[in-house]
Amino acid sequence: MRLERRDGERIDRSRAVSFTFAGWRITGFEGDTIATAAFAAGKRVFSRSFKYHRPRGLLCCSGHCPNCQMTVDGVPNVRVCTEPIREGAVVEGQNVRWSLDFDFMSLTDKIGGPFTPVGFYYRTFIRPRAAWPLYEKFLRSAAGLGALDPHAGHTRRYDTEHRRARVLVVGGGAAGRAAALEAAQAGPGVVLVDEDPRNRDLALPGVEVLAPARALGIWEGGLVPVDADTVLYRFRAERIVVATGATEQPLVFPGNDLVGVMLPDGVRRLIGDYSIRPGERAVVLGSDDETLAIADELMDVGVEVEKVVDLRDVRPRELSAQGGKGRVRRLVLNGERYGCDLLVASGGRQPAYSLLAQAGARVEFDDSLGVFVPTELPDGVEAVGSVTGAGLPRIAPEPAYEGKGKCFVCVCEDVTTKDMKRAIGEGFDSIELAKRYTTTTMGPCQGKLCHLSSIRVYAEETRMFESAIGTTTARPPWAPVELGLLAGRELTPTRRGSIHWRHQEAGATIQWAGPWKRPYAYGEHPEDEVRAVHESLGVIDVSTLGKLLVEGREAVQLLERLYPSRFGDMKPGRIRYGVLTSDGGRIMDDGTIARLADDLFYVTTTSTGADAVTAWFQWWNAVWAYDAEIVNVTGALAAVNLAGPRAREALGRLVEDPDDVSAEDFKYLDAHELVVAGVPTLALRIGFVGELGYELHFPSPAGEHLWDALVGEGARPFGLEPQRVLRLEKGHVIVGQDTDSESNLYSAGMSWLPKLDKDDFVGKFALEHFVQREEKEQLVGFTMEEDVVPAEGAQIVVDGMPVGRVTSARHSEAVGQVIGLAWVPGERSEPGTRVEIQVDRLRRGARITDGAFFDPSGARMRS
Amino acid sequence: MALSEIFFPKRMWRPRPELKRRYEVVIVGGGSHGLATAYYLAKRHGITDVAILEKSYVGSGASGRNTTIIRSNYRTPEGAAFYGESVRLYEGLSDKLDFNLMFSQHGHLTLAHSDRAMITMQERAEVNRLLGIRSSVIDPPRIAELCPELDLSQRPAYPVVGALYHPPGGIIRHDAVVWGFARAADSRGVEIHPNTEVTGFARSGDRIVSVETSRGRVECGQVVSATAGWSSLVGRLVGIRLPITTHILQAFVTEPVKPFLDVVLVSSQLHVYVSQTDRGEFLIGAEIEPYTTYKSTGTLSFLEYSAAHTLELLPQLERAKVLRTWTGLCDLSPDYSPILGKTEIDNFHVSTGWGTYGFKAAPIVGVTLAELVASGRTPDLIAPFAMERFHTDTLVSELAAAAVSH
Amino acid sequence: MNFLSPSRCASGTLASPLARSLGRVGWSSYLGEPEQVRDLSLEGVVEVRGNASAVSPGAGEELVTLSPRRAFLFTGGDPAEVVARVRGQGALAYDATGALAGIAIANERVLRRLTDLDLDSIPTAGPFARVSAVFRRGTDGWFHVYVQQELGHYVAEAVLDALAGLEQTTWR
Repeated sequence: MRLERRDGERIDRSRAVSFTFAGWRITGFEGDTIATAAFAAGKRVFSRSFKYHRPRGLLCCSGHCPNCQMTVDGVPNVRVCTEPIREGAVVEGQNVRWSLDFDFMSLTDKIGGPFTPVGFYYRTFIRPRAAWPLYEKFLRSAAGLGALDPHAGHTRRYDTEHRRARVLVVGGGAAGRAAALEAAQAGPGVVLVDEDPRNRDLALPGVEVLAPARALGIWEGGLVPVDADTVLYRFRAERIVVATGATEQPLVFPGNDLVGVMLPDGVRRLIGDYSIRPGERAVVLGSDDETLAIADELMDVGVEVEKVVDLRDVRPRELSAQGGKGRVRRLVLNGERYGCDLLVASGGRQPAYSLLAQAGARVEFDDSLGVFVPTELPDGVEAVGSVTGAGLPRIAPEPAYEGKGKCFVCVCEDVTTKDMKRAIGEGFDSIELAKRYTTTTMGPCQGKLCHLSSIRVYAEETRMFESAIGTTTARPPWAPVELGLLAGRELTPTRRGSIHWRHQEAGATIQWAGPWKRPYAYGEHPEDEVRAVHESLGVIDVSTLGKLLVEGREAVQLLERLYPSRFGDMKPGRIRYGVLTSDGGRIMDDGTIARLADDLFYVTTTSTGADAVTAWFQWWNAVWAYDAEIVNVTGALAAVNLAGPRAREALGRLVEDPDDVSAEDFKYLDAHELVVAGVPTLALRIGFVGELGYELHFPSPAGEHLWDALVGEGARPFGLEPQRVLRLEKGHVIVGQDTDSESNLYSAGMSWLPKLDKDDFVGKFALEHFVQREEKEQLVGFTMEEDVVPAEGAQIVVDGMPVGRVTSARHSEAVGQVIGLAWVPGERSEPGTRVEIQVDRLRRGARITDGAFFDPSGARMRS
Repeated sequence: MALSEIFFPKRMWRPRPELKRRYEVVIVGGGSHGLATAYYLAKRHGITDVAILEKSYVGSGASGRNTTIIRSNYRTPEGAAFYGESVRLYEGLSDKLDFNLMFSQHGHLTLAHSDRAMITMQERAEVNRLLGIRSSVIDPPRIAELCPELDLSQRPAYPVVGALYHPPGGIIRHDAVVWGFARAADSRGVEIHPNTEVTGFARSGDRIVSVETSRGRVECGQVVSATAGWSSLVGRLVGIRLPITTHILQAFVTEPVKPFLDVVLVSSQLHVYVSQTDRGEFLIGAEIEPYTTYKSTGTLSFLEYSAAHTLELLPQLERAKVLRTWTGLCDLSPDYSPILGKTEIDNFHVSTGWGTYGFKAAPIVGVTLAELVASGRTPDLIAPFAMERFHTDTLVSELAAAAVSH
Repeated sequence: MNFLSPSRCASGTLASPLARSLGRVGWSSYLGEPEQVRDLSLEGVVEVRGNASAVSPGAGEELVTLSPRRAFLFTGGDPAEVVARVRGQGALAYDATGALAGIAIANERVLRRLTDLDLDSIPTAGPFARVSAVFRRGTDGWFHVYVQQELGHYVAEAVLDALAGLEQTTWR
């Protein structure tokens, strides 16, 4: 099989490499591909076809067609014709029952034909309905090609790298090389990308060559991702030169998929690169000089050429390949038989325009060549060489030749001319419909080898012109690409406050809270942390709160127009609660607004709302053009909430003068600047958790220091879960949990908040409407009659229908009951009303309350 | 009997060389909604003087570009009841249409990666159960039983903490739905006119009297627009403004590999949903793009983040290869619920505002719109979805549960 | 607004957000070079708002203007004093030292693995490891990348991971 050593061969005969191929031990040479080594060792069948399980052999030898897809070391659908040989590789056939050579499923080819025409599955197993799942199971087990290990994890590292190029040339053929060299004369920044592994060592002066690497598409702004196996290069190119050439098209005739039917370029590679004699007796079939010239090349290497058929001269009534056991044995032409084990056949070449089409070029049918060519290229994209159609011979005269046997238009999907005709006969009378029905062109070759034939067959059958039919849409990627490569490194931006590691060290359970990692609780018993806050002292890290400085002559005007509340009457050093409403009057976010000076405000937002609120403020400020600056200082400052009856005493020990935090000098809703444990701090006296508390905001690099100081004063760290209990006891709402995108201030029980007599504010129009209507639902508090905690999301049920929902519910030790917040119908929102909540498929009674479960007068937090 | 067609192929629907001068009902849009409406008009109400005007080929829009997921586990009682009915119709549709739609009901898992998400799951499960829809919140061990291939470890950036399990959910062959409805409508006398673009409407006061098309004018009794992403443009031709924005949604498939994933996996946190078709392809879609556009060019970043997010759930797909990607247009309403039924123009009815949910609703839209067109009365099931709700401020908010919940 | 200024904290109270990532053993040995990354987090930065063009940087300072009304002033001096000086020049200024985590990176390819920015456009702002960043070149030619403090640890890990990747995959 191997020829004598030849000039230009790419194998190193001094280095043998062994691997197993479908159970056989095979030895090839360094430089071989898996397919060429196997072929040289006499292997001819590489795969079984998608639907009929027909044996398939090498066809294109360039990594495009589906015929050599095998599973290599557990990786399915590897095109072994371009996969380099490697020692010890395990190469297996796929989509076979038993073996590549004897596949039970090929019964579908031999006897199933009449029962399984195109679209047969739409017509079968409709009744009885109960049988369908069984039948589907069978369909699914027969589907797919190779198998992935369903339980494998990540096996390789993929990276992404961003590159820039002045000129990016796609394709390393003669035209591509010439274009690259010419561009390099004008300066640096020229990159040539070629998919052929044989160009690995290609050297062009002034040009960076990436091979084997595949351009996957051309997106806006000259963005070209390039697949270089484990690195995805994301090129931004000022100019893109597409030199992807023209792809040899299989000739469409009965038996055209038999093992031994090959495209001329595939044969040339076997001879020229791997010094393999591709057969003993050959027939050559074509309609262009390039194809027919293969006859001489075959004879040069000792192949007997039985017959050369020039389809420009011969108009066959009948043309077919016939064989046995799936291998070609002869060509039958008008009743004459020509014995062969190799049938080299090509219909000509079709420009490989997909990249151009996807980039936005138009594709037109060229009547003189009989192929589709790209026109009207988008700016910055050029085409050179045969992808433009230049220099191509005219395509084979007939779209398909008649004869006995299955005649494949699309080898990937096993679509025959008969299937195409049948689809058209059934009324699938647009090329896109025919494509969807037959699935032609939808296989792994992505239409490279079947798109033209499909359209030509379609045109002939419908008696339309190809130019009127047009092409189907070019959809990226141009070549199949691994998900892992597209994914690149896993990068999930994760926000951690400056005290984060202290929580980790304290053994806290850390969980996601929006974009942040936060402590859920510090042990198995969050209720202990709740108790510490009620009875003594607790501290929680609230660095995640959004924090904004709003400064400027018109800062107060800006805030008054953003919030439904009033701020102009606030004295410096005071704090007010605020809720932002959308233009539709819905609740967006909440937080506190502290006035630090006449023209300076300190605004906090929810932990998840910081970015959105900053953008919202900036957007409106750009509209109104107030003299005010909005500065996001969320990360600049760490923040902790020190809460509990002992808070004043503990803080007093850490400030220079304990009087600074006395009840008279530092009142509820005051904002003061203090120095705490040597750290300049903005202290806000607010009470989200219902006890005496100070929210301390200070430079984040001092986070661990101040945290340690507070813990040193006996403050017990508490997490998100205890905080949820504490705030629920006060009936404080969590925006986004207790409210949703339709909630407004009236339905959420905050009718005291909007000042409708203000000139204008965002959402005023809607609030004026809401204030006049009956709210369909109201947010209320409730207590359970029994000691069961309904799930958050549980439904309030009337007459078996859901009419409301629980948004928060917890058992509260301090209240001695299960308490919660819920949306209920307006007519059931009066305190004292009994409602029923569905808990674990049972109805449980609950009483509506006004929501302030614990210390309703607020005496503790004001103390 | 469909089986006989294996041996004796018949045309699915007839070619219609001429448009008539007048039709009782003109349906704009030859997708699943338009075809279903025509089918039920003919079947249940005996109205067969119907023309479907499709500017391209049947199913060329959203019907042929969606990710084929069928489910009814919606958040609002209105939505859940409506889609519940749709799933019931889908279950019997292969039989009714005598065409195997390959409805693969292996269950639908909406994954939760945070306790906040679990609240939404719980709420949906409770609403669904009260309305008789099979739906429940399950924990990771139960998820592992249903889908052992899913990565339930702590490795992913967002580990799975639970899921909403909806056994009747699944995937269907979307083109078959279109073709099945088209064939059944055609066989009852409905005329399907592909390559017929509507270019304008002539009105007399609050009524449409005729429709201008690229193939000439037709007079009409009633008009139904079922044009998804193009709805607001059709509305503008009529002279009304629909509260619709059009966005693109992208999806991709991999090369076929031996099926191992039977359930549909959805993650709102990761903005991705994954199923494996009966052909063995993994079909993966993402969240609707946040910008409005009619341009159907997809983006590379979609492929990248969808791939990354998919591998967070199913790392074994690392070496599966993406074969092709595509986009479709989505018509988004302000509350993510559809706008269905009457408009301010007396004889102009719409089916729009579907966002990413339209395909799931095709049969029930057909049933209810046909009833509305035939009787002039809005069926109770779709009353909440009337356009009027934006004036009366009685929204049906799927928005809160939306993020991605295919 | 002393509460914004780490420099006003008592000595010994400050820690860098990158202490846990860059403090790790082994980070400095990638590619066989002595040092590939450096922590800049506690070096002074002032955010300038309003009339940024009125600000004149002093010796050893660099003003990176992001928009006509927004700039960062990188300073070797006490940022709290620089804030006072800039306010005297007619612009608003805020101590941003605590707001930003900064990392200096020697290898350009680390940048290319984490940003699609045109590196010739530095100093500028843009994406880095999927978050927003400000970029400048140090006098030593290194790339100085600044992100929000709370993302510092995440970004430093991404940088170290990119270095590990470069060690693994050869050029191509």
